[in-house]
Order: sequence, then C-alpha cells, then structure tokens
Amino acid sequence: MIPEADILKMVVSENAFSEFLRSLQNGFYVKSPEGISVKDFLTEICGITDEYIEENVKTVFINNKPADKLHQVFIVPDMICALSGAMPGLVGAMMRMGSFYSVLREGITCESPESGKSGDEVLVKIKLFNKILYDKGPEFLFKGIYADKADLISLLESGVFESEISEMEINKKKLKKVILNNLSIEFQSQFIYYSIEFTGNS
Amino acid sequence: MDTILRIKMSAGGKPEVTKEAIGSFAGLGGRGLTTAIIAKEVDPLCHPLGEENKLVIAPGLLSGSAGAMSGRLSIGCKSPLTGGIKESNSGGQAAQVLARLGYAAIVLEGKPAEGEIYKIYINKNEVKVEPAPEYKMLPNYDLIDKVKEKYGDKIACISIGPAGEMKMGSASIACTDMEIRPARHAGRGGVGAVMGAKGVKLIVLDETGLENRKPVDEEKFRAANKEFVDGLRKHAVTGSALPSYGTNVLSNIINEAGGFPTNNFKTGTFAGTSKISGETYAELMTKRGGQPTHGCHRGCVIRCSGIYHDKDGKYLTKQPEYETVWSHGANCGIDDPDVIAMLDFLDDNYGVDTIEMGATIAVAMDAGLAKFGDGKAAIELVHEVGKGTPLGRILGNGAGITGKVFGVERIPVVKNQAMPAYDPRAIQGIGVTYATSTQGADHTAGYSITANILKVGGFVDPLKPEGQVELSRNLQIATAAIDSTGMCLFIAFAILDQPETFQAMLDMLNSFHGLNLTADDVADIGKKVLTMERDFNKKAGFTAIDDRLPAYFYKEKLAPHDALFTVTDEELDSVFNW
Repeated sequence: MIPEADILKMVVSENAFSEFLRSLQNGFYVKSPEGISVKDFLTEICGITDEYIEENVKTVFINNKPADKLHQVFIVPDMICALSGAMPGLVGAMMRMGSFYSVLREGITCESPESGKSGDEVLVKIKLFNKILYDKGPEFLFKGIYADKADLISLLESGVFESEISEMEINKKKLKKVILNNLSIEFQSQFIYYSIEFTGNS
Repeated sequence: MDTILRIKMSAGGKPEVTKEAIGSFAGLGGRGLTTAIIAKEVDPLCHPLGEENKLVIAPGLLSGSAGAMSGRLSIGCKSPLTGGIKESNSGGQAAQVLARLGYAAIVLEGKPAEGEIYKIYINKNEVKVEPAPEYKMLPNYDLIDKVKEKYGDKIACISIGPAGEMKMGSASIACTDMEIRPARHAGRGGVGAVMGAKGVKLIVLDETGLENRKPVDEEKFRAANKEFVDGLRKHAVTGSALPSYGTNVLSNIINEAGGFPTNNFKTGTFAGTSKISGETYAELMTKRGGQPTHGCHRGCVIRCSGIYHDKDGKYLTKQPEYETVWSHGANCGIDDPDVIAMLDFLDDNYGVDTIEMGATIAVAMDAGLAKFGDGKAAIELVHEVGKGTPLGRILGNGAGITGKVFGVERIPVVKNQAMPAYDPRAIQGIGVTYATSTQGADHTAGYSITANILKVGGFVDPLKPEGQVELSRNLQIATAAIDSTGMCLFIAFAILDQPETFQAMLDMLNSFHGLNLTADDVADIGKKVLTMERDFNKKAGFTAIDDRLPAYFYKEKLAPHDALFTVTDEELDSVFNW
C-alpha cells in the first residue's frame, strides 16, 4: 500500500538541476507492483531498455547485496535497488553481476527470494551511481519521482538553491514566490512526488 | 637499462657511487627486481633503519619506452613498519626518466653520520651526491619549488618530507608528476623512513637530452602498443569509469555493499558517502576549474587522476583517491570534500602514507583524541606529525603504535600495516589477501584480476568452497607478476575481460626485449617473487600467526550484513601451498 504523497513541481536553473541530480545517489522512490522481477521493474516501470541494461548496468545491489540475476530477484516492500556501471579494482570486479570473482563476496550475495506476486503497489528505493546517474537520472527527474519528505525538505532548505529555483507549484497551486524555508508546513504527507524542469528541457 | 647504480651513504666519508652491470638480475624489473635484490643482499634480521638495510628504486621493464601505462616506480627495502620485505610503488614521472637514464635500479646502501642529509643529482653524464642542509625538514611541495628554481623543469624528483627525515613508520617517498608536483607517492610500509635513514632527502633525475628507450623490434612493439591502448580505451572501466570519476568512483559502490569501513571499522556504511563520492568530487573539480581527468605520468591513457582546486579556484592537491577519501573520510566520519582534500595535501607535503595516516587518525579518534567527524581536529593531528611533536611522532608511526600507546583494542592492521578501504567481514575474499600478503594488509597485493588469464596453477573453479583461498593465491601471484613489469595495475581491468589486450601486453614485453614470454612465464615470475618474499619474511621471524586478521574481525559483527570474518586458519595457511 502506497502512502499519500504531496505533489511538487519546480522550474530550476542548471546549477540546481545538478544538485537534484547528485541527490539521486542517496536514493528516491518509484512505484511498482509487488512480485515482478527487478529486470521487469527496470525495463517496464522505469523505462530503461534491455539494451542499455545489457551494455551499461554492470553492478546492481539489492538491499546492500550484490545481485547476479535480475530476472530471478523479485520486488518486495522496502526494497532498495542500486545501479552502477562497471567498477575498478578487484572488489569492483567481485561486485559485478555474474562476476567470475563473485565467490570472494559470496557471504553477502543477494539470494533470490520467493516471489510474493501480490500485485499490491509498493515503493522501491532506487539509487543511481556514476554513469547510470548521469545517463538516466535526468529522465527520472523530468518524469517525476517520490522522495522522502524529510530528505527533500532538507535538500531544499540546505541553502544551495537561493535564486536557483524560479517557479514552484505545490499540490497544483502555483506559488507567487518560491519558498525555501519552513517547508515542512507546506507538505502534509510522508512522501513528496516531485518533478523538475529547467531551461532547455522541453 | 642494464646498469645498477649503487650509492653507499657511508658514515665518516664521502658517499661512494659505483655502477655495475645488471648481471644475474637481468630480465627483472619493478617489484621483481627490488625483491630479488633485497632477498639476496639484505639480512632479514637487520634493523630496517640500520646500515645493513638497502633501499632499491627500480623502474619497470617497459618504463622509459613509448609503451602506454609503463610508468610505475617500485621501491623496496625491509620495512620499518612491518618488519618484513616491502615493495611500494608509485606513479609520476620518475620511472620514465630513470629508465631513460639507463638504470635498472638505484640501490642506496649504508648510512651516513647522524644528521647528515644529501641530494643526488643524475643526468645522462654524471651522478653527483652532495650535502643538502638547505633542504633539511622542508615539506615536499616547498622542497620541489626550490629544486625547480635550481634545476629547471626538465626533471623528475624522488623525495621525502619531514616524516621521512624523522624516520616515521608511515613515511612515504614522493615522485613528481607531469607538472613537477610531489603528488604521487610510494606510500606503504615506511619506505620514506628508510630513505631518511640513508640520509637522502632528494634524488633529481634530469631528462635533458634523453630519448625514449628503443625496442628490439620497433614495428611489432608499435603494433602491440596500439592494440593495448585500444583495449584500454574500449573497456568500460579503463575507458570510462576511471577517467570520469577516478578511483573514488568506488565509494558509493563499496558503501552500498556494506564494506565501506566507517568510524574506525565499526560499521560498513557511511551516511555521508554521497557528499564525498567520485561523482560529487568530479562535479566540484569541474566547477572550480580543476580537472577531473588527468594522468600521473606521460604515456598514461587511463588518466584516473585529477586536479583539485580549493574554494578560491587555486590548486590544492591532486584529486584525492578512493583510499584517501575513505581513510580520511568515512573512516574518520568526515564528509567534507575540502577537508579530505586538505588532508590529502598534508599527507603528500609531510610525506606520509594516506592509508596509514587516515587509519591512525581513526584509531586516535577511538582513543578520544578527537571526535569522529571533526575535520579540523583531523587536520591538526596531521600537523602534529609534520611538526614532529611527541604526539606527532606517535601518530606518524602508524595505527598499530598509536593504538598501543592509547590503549585502543580495535586496531585494523595486519603485520602492523593498516588495512585499506574494504572491510574483510563484508568482503571475505579481500580478507584472505590482507591476512596472507607478504606486504601486510594490502588491497593491491591481490588486486590484479588476471588470475585465470594467466591460468596460475590451473583454472580455478570459483564455486568450490576453497575458491576464496585459491583465488587469493592466484591473484597475489598475478599481481606480483604485473608489478614486476612496472605496468600500472589498473590495466588489469581490461586484461581480465579482453584476452587480446593481455596478449598485447605480452607482445609489448616480447617485442621490446626480444623475448618469447608466455602467460606461464609471467605467472612464474609472480610465483618466484612471492616465494622470495615469503622466504625473507620467514627468516625475519614471521610465522603463521602473522597471517591472521585482528581478533575483533572474528567476533564483532559488521552492519549492515552482521558479518564476521569466517575463513579458517587452516584455509589461510594453505594460501601459499604450491
């Protein structure tokens, strides 16, 4: 069951866009049916193509555990899914999907849980790193993602967005003036569904 | 490059310079050569800072050529930190110039009278060893500024900072980079203290009038080098991840794996990781006019380094590497990129190993000398080291000494050398290498991921229960072999996945030297090197007990996986059975 979410739309500068993009390293949420495979989640729900995954997504963590077979791991509540490109070093090689060196991290390898297949909608936390962050992060931000209210407010109130956000719309009401403090009173729900636009984004 | 230059820093007289043919050491370079000389000529029971120890400085087999990635400089001795044999290597320009000068190695021997300090100047015509009191106790950056004023900019330098002069166990040896900045270091094991004990502050290598070394078969070498470079450029790690974000691209990943040691190895994840990740650093460097992509020596095509500017847009240091970001960052609870960059600069300037120093400060924080997360206090502690205060002398001698002095039980060392940036409880395989490496806890000892290409000891089935031990063994052999070529270990990523790139590297070696080395031959070099190193350590007094992790790794569970190190003593003792 997905909790209610407030809706926030922003028009931002390129600097602000970079800040939002970088924040995706910490994670954001996407709605998904419970029980589908992680592979289906990434392709069908997130819109990342098979070809892109094959070519670029070389390292995946599910709940802090390196995963090897995305079609055999199923979406469950409170799941965290982190996506990365190929990483350097022996440990980087160990962590790769299907790595020859996976035995060296077998104690933490993601086991394939039974599929619940309840069909209920859940929020999956996604973290994007390195190449995947810069390739796919913008698409998520433009389309819209769920953020934990406290995390997003903390980011917005961090002081880096002064003069960087030109428009703000909360729950379909456009604000006359952008506000960047005491934001907690503007949002009632635990989650905020937000999307951004910036100059050049049609 | 068939000459060994020996400089005897004798007490009570002028240092003696002799040159000799490489003789029985022919065919060896890098770690292979440093280990062979130390194993043959140094008494394993000698005092590391005494006159019987030697410091061997050796470029690789392809250094000084037009071959890509051939610029590692190996430095070997008996380590004052571990008490065993040591090879520590560095990037920068020194290996290239030393090889073009025709030297397979410089061997510093003997010991001058206490307090005497020398500089060594080498050009294509002469070797001069002269007193250098004017350089005494200068930090590396100040030293190199003065050296450039005197010798110009056609030089590469090898130097020590105050930590080396004070013979601290964490002292490093600096090599200048392409911009003649002392930013590349042979960091591990206190090699800088041995150089300090030899009374050598500085070696200036003048490249005026030097040309690239010529291969035996120029055409084949050129073709092999092209194939090798193409292989590196097309690979996702060497062609994209490393150039874009540097080695610190690993921070997010190791943190996500729960193996990012935090607050002196108390947990495996750090809440502030995204603030100090490779992605964040790359953006910051670009924004401030630095460079997120930069090579540490000419001929590097991976360019995993970078140039870090401060808030005012001025050069502060090189891009902090993953190990530095971890050791001074997560391991000390610090999530400010500028603080970590300042600590990186101070490490380089005073001349200390960035892994050892970060691990030491974390131990000091556990002892209550500062709070985890207090960047200002961490900076002050490194200044104590540079100034050589009584506290600084303790810290400068590493995590093991610091823990003992302040009564800390959690000291992450093996053979008294601090562990690098991967917690062995979450990543058991790396723990096998930490425990059994001849070098002390060292991630690069089993770093090269070419084991099955080299087919060391046959093809390993990683799914077998004993796979971790077998893999660690083979990785250590492969790494010793690659270290002996003087190639940057980062080539390993491409030659793991692309056998044709590995073959190209072999073809480079063969066409350059007129050899017919096979993969088996290269593996044999690795085995021989490890055998010599194990033998040295055994004679120095090491036993199976030294091939263990500290006790708390077996009994304190690491979050988030609640993992313990579970590889048995019997399995660890079988690593070197061949």
